[in-house]
Amino acid sequence: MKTINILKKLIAIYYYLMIIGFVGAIISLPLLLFTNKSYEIAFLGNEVDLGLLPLYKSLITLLLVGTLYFLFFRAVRLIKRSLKDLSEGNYFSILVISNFKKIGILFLICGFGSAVVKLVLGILLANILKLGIDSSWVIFIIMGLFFLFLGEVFSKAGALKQENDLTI
Amino acid sequence: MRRLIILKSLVDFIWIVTCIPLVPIILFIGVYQFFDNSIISLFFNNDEVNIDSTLISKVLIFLALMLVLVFIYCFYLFRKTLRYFQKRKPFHVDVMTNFNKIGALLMISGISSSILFFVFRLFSDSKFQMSLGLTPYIFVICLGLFFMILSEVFMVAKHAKDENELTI
Repeated sequence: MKTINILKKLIAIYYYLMIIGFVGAIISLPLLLFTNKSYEIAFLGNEVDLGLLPLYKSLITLLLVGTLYFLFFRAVRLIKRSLKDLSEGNYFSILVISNFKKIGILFLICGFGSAVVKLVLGILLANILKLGIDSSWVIFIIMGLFFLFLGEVFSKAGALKQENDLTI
Repeated sequence: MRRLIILKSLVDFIWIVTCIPLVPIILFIGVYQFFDNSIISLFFNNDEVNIDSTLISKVLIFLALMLVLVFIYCFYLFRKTLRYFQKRKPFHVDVMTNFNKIGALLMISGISSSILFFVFRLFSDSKFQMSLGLTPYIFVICLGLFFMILSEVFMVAKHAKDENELTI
């Protein structure tokens, strides 16, 4: 179970770096938004300079991107919590199963949300209506569906283990 | 089961549309770039990546292309594993070996791609660039570790299932 501990530490680092990033963004954004200085944000391979945009467009962009990042952050937090349970040997606990289902749903929302946000940003920033399949959000959808399926498999395995424990 | 069908269809679609055509293209470019370096500029923007014609650059590009092949192989194993899930055999031995293989390969490719891009930047741009933040390589390494954990957890579930069947 050395692997779980390594992953747990990596996810914890990832999680705390995200928190630092969020705090940094919350502090610096209001300062930079009203100074009309160049302020680039990267989102799924696109870079948007908020300093060059009108205020309402900047706010819509920030709101959309921020919401998606927040959902992703919540998914990472749930993974962190599930790993804690997994490292304690509670592989098929109700918490792990429900967390996997929640993570799946959050990833699905992130996937579809990214596609919609990309579309909206295209219309808003460049007046282009562009539809296409992008690897960045398709991976999220695949992962979301996989996590939902894992939730089902884990609940089945949990039932089997419970039955086994009762027989003994 | 409906989610699994959607997941399998999505994975099949990506496999047919992206992965299958990509394999011969990568192999061709990997070999051809040693004879004619200009083929790389068809795929990379020269403003983003500074590609020179030295042997080291060519070898590094070749290695990067091989890493893409490793990712495609991981995707192939994932697709193969989903077939077992569809046959309602989630605790088959092959599922565990496939998960373990995917995990190990993703981990190795995550670490080697971070080293490769570090060396690439060092030689082509003469930049000593290191980032400890949220890089895609950490994400790939985490995904690899997660698959290895899944393999271990599925093993536990398989033992429970086998014991259960023996008791009956």
